[in-house]
Amino acid sequence: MKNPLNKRITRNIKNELGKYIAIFLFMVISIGFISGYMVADDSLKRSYKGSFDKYNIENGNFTFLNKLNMSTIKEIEKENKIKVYKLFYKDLKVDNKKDCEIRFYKKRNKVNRECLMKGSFPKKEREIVIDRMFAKLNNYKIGDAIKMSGKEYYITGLVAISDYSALFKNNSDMMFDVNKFGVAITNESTYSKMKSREIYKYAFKYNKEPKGDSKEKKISDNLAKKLYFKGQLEEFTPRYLNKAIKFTGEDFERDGVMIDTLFYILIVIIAFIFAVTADSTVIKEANVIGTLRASGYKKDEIIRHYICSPMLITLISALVGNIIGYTFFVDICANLYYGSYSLPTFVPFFNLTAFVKTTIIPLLLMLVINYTVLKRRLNTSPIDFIRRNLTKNKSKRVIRLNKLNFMTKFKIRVFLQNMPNYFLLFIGIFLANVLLFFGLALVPLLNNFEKETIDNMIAKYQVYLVKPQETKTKGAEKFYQKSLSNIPNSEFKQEDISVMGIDKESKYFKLKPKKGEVIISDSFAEKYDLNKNDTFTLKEKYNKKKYKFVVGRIFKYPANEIVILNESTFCNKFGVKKTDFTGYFSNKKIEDIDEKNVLLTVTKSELTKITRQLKTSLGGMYVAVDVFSIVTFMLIIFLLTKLTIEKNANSISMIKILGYTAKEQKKLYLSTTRLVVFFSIVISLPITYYTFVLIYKPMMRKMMSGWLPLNVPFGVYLQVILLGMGAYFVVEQIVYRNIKRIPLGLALKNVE
Amino acid sequence: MLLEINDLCKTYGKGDNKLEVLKNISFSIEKGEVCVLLGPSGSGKSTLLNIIGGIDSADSGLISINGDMTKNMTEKELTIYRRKHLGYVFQMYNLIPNLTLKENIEVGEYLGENPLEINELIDVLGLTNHQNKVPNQLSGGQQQRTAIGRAIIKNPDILLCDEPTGALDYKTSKAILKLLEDVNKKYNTTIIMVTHNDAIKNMADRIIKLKDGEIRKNYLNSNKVTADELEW
Repeated sequence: MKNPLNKRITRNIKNELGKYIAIFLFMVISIGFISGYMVADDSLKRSYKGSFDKYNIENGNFTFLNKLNMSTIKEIEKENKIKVYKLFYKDLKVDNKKDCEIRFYKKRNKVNRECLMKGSFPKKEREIVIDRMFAKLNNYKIGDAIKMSGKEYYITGLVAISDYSALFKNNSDMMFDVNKFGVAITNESTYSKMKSREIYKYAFKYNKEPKGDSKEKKISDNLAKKLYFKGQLEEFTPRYLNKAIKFTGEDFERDGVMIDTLFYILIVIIAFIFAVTADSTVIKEANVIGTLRASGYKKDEIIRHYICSPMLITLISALVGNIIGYTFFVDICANLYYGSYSLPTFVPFFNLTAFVKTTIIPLLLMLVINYTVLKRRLNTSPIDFIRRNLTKNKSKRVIRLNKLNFMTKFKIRVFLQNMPNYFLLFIGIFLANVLLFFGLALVPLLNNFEKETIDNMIAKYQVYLVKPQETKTKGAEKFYQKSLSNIPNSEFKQEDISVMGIDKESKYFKLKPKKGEVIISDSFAEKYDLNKNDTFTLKEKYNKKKYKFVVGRIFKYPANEIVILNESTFCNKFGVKKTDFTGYFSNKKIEDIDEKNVLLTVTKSELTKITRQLKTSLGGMYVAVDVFSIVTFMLIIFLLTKLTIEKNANSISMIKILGYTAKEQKKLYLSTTRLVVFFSIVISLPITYYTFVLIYKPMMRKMMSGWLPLNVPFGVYLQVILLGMGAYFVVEQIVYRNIKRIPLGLALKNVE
Repeated sequence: MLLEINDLCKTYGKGDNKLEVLKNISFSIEKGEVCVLLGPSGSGKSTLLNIIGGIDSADSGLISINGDMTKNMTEKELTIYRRKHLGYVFQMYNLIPNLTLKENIEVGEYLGENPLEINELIDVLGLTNHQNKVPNQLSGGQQQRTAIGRAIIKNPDILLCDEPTGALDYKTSKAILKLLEDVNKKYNTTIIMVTHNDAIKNMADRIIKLKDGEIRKNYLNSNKVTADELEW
């Protein structure tokens, strides 16, 4: 015979629809978002990595002042075992758009091929295809005309150009700016008529790919040295240093760390919710469980029965969540990348890791937690279940409240009676706060970083030179700089750390570094938990040589992780001649240095470009996480406070029978819960902050080069309180309305 | 002898709060007997019933049902034991709220190896017209009948009833007692019923009076009456 209790499975869900809908929505949104992100990330990564072969992306490129002749090219190919391809380009300024340029290439057939995303390749005169990203941000569509140097060029298609997934104009640029720089392809005829200086850039591919970064560096360094003798070499960029190609891949890694962190927070919350709801079900059904046990139902039969409804909901949530993840969220998450990078089209692949994380783990968690809670509870004897004697430790002492008025006494008794529930509510609110904080704090951190970066600029101009050159500009101060690497491990991702040598009387740093003294920026100190007298080690990027430093001082400089030494210490330590300085700090524009000798000039505009692009690159994901965390926060508050209020449903009905008005009922029962929710949100905020710090540091260390100082504005705390109380008020109205609907006679019947 | 109890003791609490609820209880019941455990509130009668039913445990003493000693049974064995041999009826019915009347009886049917025919039983219980209703659509008497149906459908050796009429009015109480009488006659089910209502003892075969945890009287009823004839 089929177990008649099975008929209760769907009926139980119907009876507690509010609770199960909240769990369902929470799970669907969580699973959908995480799954969608992971699928998008993995599929885009595959597409991105696949594009290296699919579009035959270069191993590097070099630029000569003059065009190389065929015999020189053949020589280079033979000597260095590479294949060389012409990749000449012309930059044209867009009319009526300030500082906006488009780089034109001829159609590529062999190396760095384009991915046509929409439309068709240009065939006729003055037809072009342009980069999809640039088109989107500048509101260009297929069929539009772009006026450049007085002529109109017609867009026939949109492309993703494989060696420009991040639209860096020059490799020496600190950041790309997709509003101001784009790349386009045109036909031979149109290209030849463009009136602009042609740049003689050549791409190369190794006949046999070197294995490993250090081997590749060795080979490319040798190649660069040999090319130097073939003509006037202007630039040499191996692929592993080409930001336009590499930057995108690095961003995937960054966001992956953040989503993983979010996932772990969610798992803890899901486990907590499952435990609370399972326990709540047992308490609610105590007399039924007792009767079944007394009748002879085995513990396992009862456990199986009570596990079914939550498992069913979790299974359906997982299914729906995955469907939504693979369809709706995958596009949203993919668009966050398509909004910053020029990526080829991708196909969502089934992602086993995403499936395990978003489906198998929650299902297992639901199974294990419900089983554990039920198993533990079923150690209670059947008679105790029937009598609802479920707490082992009963309070033996009754607190005397004689001197207080009745209403106050009653409210205190309600509070004391509900203390175990309120404690769980506090824990739940704390966990929900952590999730919300995670979402709300990230965008202000970016904004704060931008402000601090600009406020702490070293000088109006920081000029990096190709080779040392003197200047007569008043106030210009030499500096030395070397880029070292941290020692990456499981905690810290690889990143470059700048070590600077400055004049001990520097007007720009005002630090007066002593001989041998090591001064580090506060962002570096914060990221690596360094204090005065701590030792840290940096290494050369491409060999094993290491350098030890002992922290002498920490100075305020949130924009970058830098190490400051005085000039002579720097030169001695790194074996650099005093004449081999890197560049100048200056508050006046340096005009007497050959432009070709200027590698990069860092100005306020460059710094804001960095932060703007960082906001675009990180901000999109942060906003998605923000919205996600607000929605899930409200669902968690809804669920937990609903469970708490419902536990008092019978009591509320009883005082209604006795004649208490709705206002009095709310005053006695709901106002206590309201206060508990408010104080739980407020009191848990400092714990939330410290928990966030514990999460933030490891996450950011793995996630990015550089550091976003942890400076949470007061507004975030206020938002947490307002959102929490807002969610609670909605719950209170819904649940109280349901309680009011219980007929008084039924309420009496329900009393044991 | 179906049920034999020897020197059963049960204590609650510790130290100054220690309360001896049952003190050296010994008696036996034959198959097919209707036995009433009578006593005032706090006399230990419900505790005794719960220990016989295996849902509470004694501190010492022996219980033997059909030759099986329950003292040495593990929790799992006790569960199987209840499943096979005992039926329980509670004062507050304890029906499952979102199952219909018939489904609540099926809950008991599922446990029986050779259950009674459900439709016939529902008919005997006088509940045929209400079988698709849920508990909150039933009167107290109908709910208690359902609970009795759930307990007896698996054809238990012993039916344990804890104040089965405690929450019911006089007329309904008599109807329930009549039903129990009919069940006893029709299926030869041994019934052990706890009550504080002195009048009910008159329908019993055996009367055991408890006070302060001790058996004060244990005797066979020579003036047995039918449930219909009971008056209080």
